[in-house]
Amino acid sequence: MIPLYELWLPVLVSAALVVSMSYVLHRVLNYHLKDYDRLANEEEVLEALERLAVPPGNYPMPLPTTRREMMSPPFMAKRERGPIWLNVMKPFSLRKVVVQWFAYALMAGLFTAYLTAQAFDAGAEPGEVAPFAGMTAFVGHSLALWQRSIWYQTKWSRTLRSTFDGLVYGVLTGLTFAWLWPAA
Amino acid sequence: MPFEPPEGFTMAYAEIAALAVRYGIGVLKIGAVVVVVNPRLAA
Repeated sequence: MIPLYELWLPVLVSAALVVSMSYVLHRVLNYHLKDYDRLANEEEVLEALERLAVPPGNYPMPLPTTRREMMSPPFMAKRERGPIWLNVMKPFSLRKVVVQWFAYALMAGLFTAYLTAQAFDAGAEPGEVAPFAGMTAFVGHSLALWQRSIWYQTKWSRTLRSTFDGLVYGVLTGLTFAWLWPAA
Repeated sequence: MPFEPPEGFTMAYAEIAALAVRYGIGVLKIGAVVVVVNPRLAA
């Protein structure tokens, strides 16, 4: 079996390609513009939030304090009646996000390397390595996104767009691993 | 004169290039499906 450290180059290159491609998919192409809906009274809501001085945090509303309360008829009626709000209040730092995004891409590459090294020895055919590594990376980048739509009501259309991004990242990772796979 | 591949070029690179084309076409096809399905999901 190929030791993991011998695959540092495909891990690094695929992570760099994934981050670069994500820039293209989100900033150059415009199909992610529909990911969010704009509130007609956005300014009013922002002013209200500022006035309330809501500290950074994750705020689902209504939020039960105990499991017992969650199952209680008054709480269930409240949730049934609505409104329900799932929101994140946080200052946004692009630099922090990009650093975390690159670290995440490296992590996805590492898991891909680990699994692919279990399956193939040095000198394996590109036609064998590419689909295996690519599918592994796709699963890593995409499948967990579906949980957002199942549990947190994120629009399925948005999740599907992000799943497509994961497919592109998977293809790039698969081809990179095939290209830089160690020779026999 | 017989075809001489450029230096450093191996059959593996040709295979990877062929894979890239095949996957690229696959991604475009799936992209087309996403474009068709997405408005229905957004509705």
